[in-house]
Amino acid sequence: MGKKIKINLVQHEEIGIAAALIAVVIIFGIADPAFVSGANLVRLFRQACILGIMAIGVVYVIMCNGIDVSVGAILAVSSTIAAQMMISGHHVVIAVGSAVVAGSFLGMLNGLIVTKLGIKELIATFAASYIIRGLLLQISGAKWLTNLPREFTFLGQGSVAGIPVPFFLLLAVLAAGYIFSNYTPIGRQVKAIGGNAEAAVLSGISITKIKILTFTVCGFAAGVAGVIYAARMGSVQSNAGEGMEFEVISAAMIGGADFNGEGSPVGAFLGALLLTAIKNGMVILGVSSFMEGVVTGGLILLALFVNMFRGKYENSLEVAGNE
Amino acid sequence: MNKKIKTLPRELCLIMIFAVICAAMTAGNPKFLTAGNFKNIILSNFEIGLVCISMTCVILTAGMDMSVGSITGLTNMLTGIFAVNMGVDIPAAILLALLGGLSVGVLNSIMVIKLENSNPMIITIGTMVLVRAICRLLTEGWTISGFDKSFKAVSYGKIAGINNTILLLFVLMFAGQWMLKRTTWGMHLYAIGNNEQSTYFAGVNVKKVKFAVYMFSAFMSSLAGIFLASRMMTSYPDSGDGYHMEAIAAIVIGGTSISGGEGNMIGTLFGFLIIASLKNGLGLMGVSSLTQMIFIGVVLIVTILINNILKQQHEKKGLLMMKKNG
Amino acid sequence: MKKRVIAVMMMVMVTVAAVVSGCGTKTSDNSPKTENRDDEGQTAETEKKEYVIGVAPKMVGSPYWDYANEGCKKAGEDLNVRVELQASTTASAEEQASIIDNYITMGVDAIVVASNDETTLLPALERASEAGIPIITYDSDVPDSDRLYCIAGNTQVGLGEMMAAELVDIMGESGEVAFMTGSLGAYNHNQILEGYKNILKEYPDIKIVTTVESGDDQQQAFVNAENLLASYPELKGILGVAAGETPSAAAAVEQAGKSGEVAIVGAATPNSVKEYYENGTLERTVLWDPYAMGYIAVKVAVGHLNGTEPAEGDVLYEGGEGIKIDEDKNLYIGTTVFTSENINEFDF
Repeated sequence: MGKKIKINLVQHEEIGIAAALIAVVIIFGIADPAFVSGANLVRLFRQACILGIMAIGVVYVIMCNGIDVSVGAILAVSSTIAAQMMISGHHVVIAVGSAVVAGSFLGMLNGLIVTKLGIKELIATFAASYIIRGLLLQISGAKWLTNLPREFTFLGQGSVAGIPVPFFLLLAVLAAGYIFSNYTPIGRQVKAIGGNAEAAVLSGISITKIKILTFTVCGFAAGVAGVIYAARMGSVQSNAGEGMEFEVISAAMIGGADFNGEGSPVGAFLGALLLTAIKNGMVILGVSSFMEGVVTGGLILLALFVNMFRGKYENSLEVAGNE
Repeated sequence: MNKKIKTLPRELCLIMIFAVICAAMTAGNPKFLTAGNFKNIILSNFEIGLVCISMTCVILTAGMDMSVGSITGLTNMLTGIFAVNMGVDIPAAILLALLGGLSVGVLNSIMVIKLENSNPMIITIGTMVLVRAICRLLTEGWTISGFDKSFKAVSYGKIAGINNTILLLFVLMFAGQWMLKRTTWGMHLYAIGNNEQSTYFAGVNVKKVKFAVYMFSAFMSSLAGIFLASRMMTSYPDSGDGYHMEAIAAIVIGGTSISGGEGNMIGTLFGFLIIASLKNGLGLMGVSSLTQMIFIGVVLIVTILINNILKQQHEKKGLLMMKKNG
Repeated sequence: MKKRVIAVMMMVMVTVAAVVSGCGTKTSDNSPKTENRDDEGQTAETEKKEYVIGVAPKMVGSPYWDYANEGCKKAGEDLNVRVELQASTTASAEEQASIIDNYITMGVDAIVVASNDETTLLPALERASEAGIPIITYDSDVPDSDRLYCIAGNTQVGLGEMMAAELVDIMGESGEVAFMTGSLGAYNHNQILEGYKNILKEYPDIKIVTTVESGDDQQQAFVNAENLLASYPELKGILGVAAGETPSAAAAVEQAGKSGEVAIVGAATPNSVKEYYENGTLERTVLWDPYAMGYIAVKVAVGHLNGTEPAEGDVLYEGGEGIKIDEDKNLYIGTTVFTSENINEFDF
């Protein structure tokens, strides 16, 4: 009984975004079959990894009625640390580990500022992004970090059995997120907080602890994404990740996340995939870059409409079910 | 009774913070405290100030409008297209540009009302991306210049020896404060922010208020775009970039809560002045832009902390008083 | 009652402040120089007072600009002048205009500016001229202002034309070409694109297939390049506008195994692309020495304040070539085409 209900839940939340994704693929595929070639689809998945991992990370923050606009800055820190350590000759594992730990730490700091200092998430993470970027540029100067060694860039450029390595990382994050959301008590608590914070507190959930956790997870995800970012090109520019935050949040929300406890890692990934597919498709179709923003913006609004209808549909289903 | 105790020190605190910052900036460079410099501060931040006024109202209702910068960009470009590219008279061009901006406002309003499940933040992020793309699409990214010299008067004109924009900013800020505290309209904004459901049940037409507030936001953003075009005598597609976050920062420093129902326009005015003075003062001291970022981030956190502490203290006082009075 | 009194008091205070700031203007606008001299007069014993040069580059936080900024500062050191350097982190024209206004308030002796947009900056520069402050532009000119000289390797359009010419030289006179730009809303990027088109339209067998923008994001540039290579298998040439496009394009071409098949030409700092010369992915990049450019810009400004003007053929920077000056007072310091032969000589 239990398992069946959970599977139904999954189908419901992600069905909208999955449908949109399939529609886009079909439309682009008809317009230019090169879009749906095996090579391009593989490329698409590889390209969506950075955005996808970050979107999965931010989903939990959003579900708890929060937001994080410092993810771009955290990615920059993580990329820089990974690249710098590789250049200094450290082992891949150490470089990657440091980067991810740094990301998690910054995420945790965000969580502490929000909970212990009582500053609202939007402003807290906005201030944090300014401070983090300012410090990063001061400390590292604006140098490009280039020529990263092969054992590191493998993480971004390599493939195993034809599947890009970053995608394995994404799947790992996705799986972890899925299990966390649906099968662990903490995961359910996250949803509860978003749904009704007061009730959650009354039932003994520690909002402080959960919020800190969600921000740390978000930082962790940005840390992993930062490693892939550096590994993809084998170099890191000083303005890495600038402006990514709204794309990340859009991906998560197109995927169904909202401030009331709705949201899923799978949806976030699909949202990221959709946004990446649009960019990829527009180049292949030769559509002017100017149109990209129009399509992306239009899509966000469309997704919101779909969410609304889905909400009404669910409500009527419930009503029907109760009779 | 509670209200009195809350508002009294909060604004004084802001004045004190502003005074401290001014003192520090002056110590860094005495030229900060000159009349000419203050004029620069207001002039160059005027457009953001306009947006702050309307954003305060939006945030009071527990809403958010992320598209303000993009609307500014849109009217900025439209003014150029009509006045320069199409040779329309300046007043008519301004009107047409305004219409363009307001239509985005209509879009925002309708969607915020219809999409009840969705947070206004994400809705307006959608319009933000869409409208910004349109800004660049209009001229394929090129800037527009060649305005008739008379257009300068919009931003640089003077009334009784005082700059248009300085006058306008303060008048609008005070008018806004009056509107918030002395009209039913203002009362409704607070009520909706505090508890939308009970406000609805109390008979207020919540939808109408929301519609008006997002239209107001679009209107002020549109004005900002037009003034910006006059100040720069150019239209450029990325104009207004970042306005949404700067406005939010100013408003929050001024004590308005993002979750709505709390705050006022005087606070916003000081929040605006504080951020603008910091940017200017640090610049005059030769502080690098990177360090400025760190400064502003820290000031943001510190002032919010102070706001929170004050709020807590007064809530405690209020509770104590309630206990006392039985 | 109390609340009302406080509110009224505050309104009065702020209104007074506004009126004061609105009314008092003439004093600080007209005499920055004299104010400055009064301040410095006490300390300067030497015959040359310390000039303050207000440098306003396009931005901070990119290797090209940070290198140019170092050049400006070095010139300040060498010439015993104080260099103030401020810029936005996002190449914002609005912010730059504010910075110019700040410099006027500070009473700098000269302004050296690389404009983010030549029309947006004009009102601010006009105010500077009214205040009697001489202006030198570099990298990106503001031709309608009262600027004395513009120091550059080349004009933006000219740079684009150079790059396109080099590309045709490598790839031949036929084939598909794509443009990769940083921002479709950036004036100087669009000027470079114009330069490309000026040259390429002379070759009827060269087809420009598309223009993609990266939003100045390195990762996006890389993804764009990947997608380009995939969608246009016959692609023979890529032209990269901004400093971040060329290395990203090179990385994509290399990873797609197409080194040598697709010609790439762009404006990039040597350090960011050295590795691609080694494996043949890149053959030519075009740039000038930003350090020298920044250095010379400040030097010319100081020279003007001291009464000397630059002349054709002067070598203003050690190891540089003689400058060329045209009738519009554009000062050209020379562009370098980086090939595998000379790229390792440079470290920026």
